[in-house]
Amino acid sequence: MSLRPSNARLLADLELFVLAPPDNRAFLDLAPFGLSLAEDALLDPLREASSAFIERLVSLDRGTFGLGEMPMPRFLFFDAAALPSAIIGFARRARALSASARALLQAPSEGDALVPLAMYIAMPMIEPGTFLGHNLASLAERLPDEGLAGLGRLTKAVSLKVLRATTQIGMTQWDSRALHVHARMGPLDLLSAWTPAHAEPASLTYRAHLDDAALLHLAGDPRGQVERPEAELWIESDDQAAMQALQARIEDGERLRIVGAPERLEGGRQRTPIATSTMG
Amino acid sequence: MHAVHDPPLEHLSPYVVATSAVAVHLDLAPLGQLITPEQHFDPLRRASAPFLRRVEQLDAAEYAPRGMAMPRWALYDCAELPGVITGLAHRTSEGLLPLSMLIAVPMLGERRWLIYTIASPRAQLRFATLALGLALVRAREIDATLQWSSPELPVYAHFAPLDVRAARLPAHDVPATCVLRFQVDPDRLDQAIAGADADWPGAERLDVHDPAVLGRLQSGVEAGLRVQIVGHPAREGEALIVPFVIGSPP
Repeated sequence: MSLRPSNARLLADLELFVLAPPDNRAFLDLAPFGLSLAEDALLDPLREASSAFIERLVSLDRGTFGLGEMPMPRFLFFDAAALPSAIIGFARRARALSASARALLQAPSEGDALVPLAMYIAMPMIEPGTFLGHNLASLAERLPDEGLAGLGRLTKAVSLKVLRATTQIGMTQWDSRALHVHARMGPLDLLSAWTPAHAEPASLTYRAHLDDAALLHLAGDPRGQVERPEAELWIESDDQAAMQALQARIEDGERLRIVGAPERLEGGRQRTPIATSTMG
Repeated sequence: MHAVHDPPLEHLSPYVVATSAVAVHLDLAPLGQLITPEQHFDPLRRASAPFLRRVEQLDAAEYAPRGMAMPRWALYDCAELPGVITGLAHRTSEGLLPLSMLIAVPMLGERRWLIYTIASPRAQLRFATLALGLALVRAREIDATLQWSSPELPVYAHFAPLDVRAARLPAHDVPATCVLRFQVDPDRLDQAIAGADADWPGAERLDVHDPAVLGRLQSGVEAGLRVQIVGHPAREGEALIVPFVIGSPP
């Protein structure tokens, strides 16, 4: 099945890249949704020739802080990303970069070097097909004049396809704009609603169940579809008591889901729709 | 007599940090040491938070001086949720106090794990923690990232021969970082625990503190040569001498 994101320029202007050791590649779909992967866009993190590209990934992370997340220590680009799994995203050739993108990423001014503009990192979990996503970075907001709208969600969708993921677990803050991206995958099982183990306790941990329809919807392809159950309650992003009450219900064995994108409220706040789940 | 903060190994208890979904896949009696529900900490539950703070402090004590301490969010996102943290702990009046820790995360493929942390203020606990971790996750193949100068190298050397997958990583915080691989089977685990060393005649003894040596090893790996560590490292003045076999395995 091909991919037709609403912003068609993304696939026309950008190139897919995959950074993964050769041993990991047998587990990957290197033609996700029929996209092609240039020979020099399949990189090995264990080879010194890949170091310049990895430096650009670090610059990308620093330039975006992910989508509301925190900058990642360099060693985790290996230990929690490229070695156990893969780093996947979209890039432009250096010669095709705008001056602002070049400055932001400290990229070379010419040549064919690949310069990443978005990446997604997800680690395999012990359950086959399940991945823990912990970094989604896109320059779409930092480079608003370059036609990159929708790049973050496209990157996440294509990456999960490359990984052959059937389930994705992730975490974010209740006030994060990234929740709008994650909610496009359909209802999200809530694994935690108040998370003292995270640096920011007002974080949630979610689980998404994936198929092609959900990935297309995430990517912004109008053929994508996801279920949208009715909300039974809303959690406001500054209501810590409500988050803790929800956490108590989860720890008591109740199954709850986020059933749609957050709604924006005054003062930069947002509220997120929740429903009980009948799913196992 | 041991001080309260330095109890003997037999007085320590194993612990594991893992979600319940991960824990069902683990051997919760690794090496015959039962991990009870009180010794299992689920990061998704609020009650685990005090113990997880102690684990964070242990990680910082080991890695902050090297500039590689894990932020709390990274411990959660990149260790506690996808994989396991395990180690040995001492029972105190305030609960379990972790004295060692190992972080292992699954890799793509079946029973392949990556270990990127082995930490303890007590050097003699590091090997016991590695043996515990290998049994806990039922690993078939282990990749490990570590710095050549770190105290983890002698611990992994118990499992020699170790394949060198990378001898240096220029984009890492510490470029003199290596990636090693070894297979795990019960015989090999028993052999390592027994402290048996294989004899590897003809091994080259190279100083891994010498950048030129790391360059040579990396070039060999990238050229397709099999580079193996075949014994324990030894300090000789400023040098750290490691026995290697380069080329086809003997």
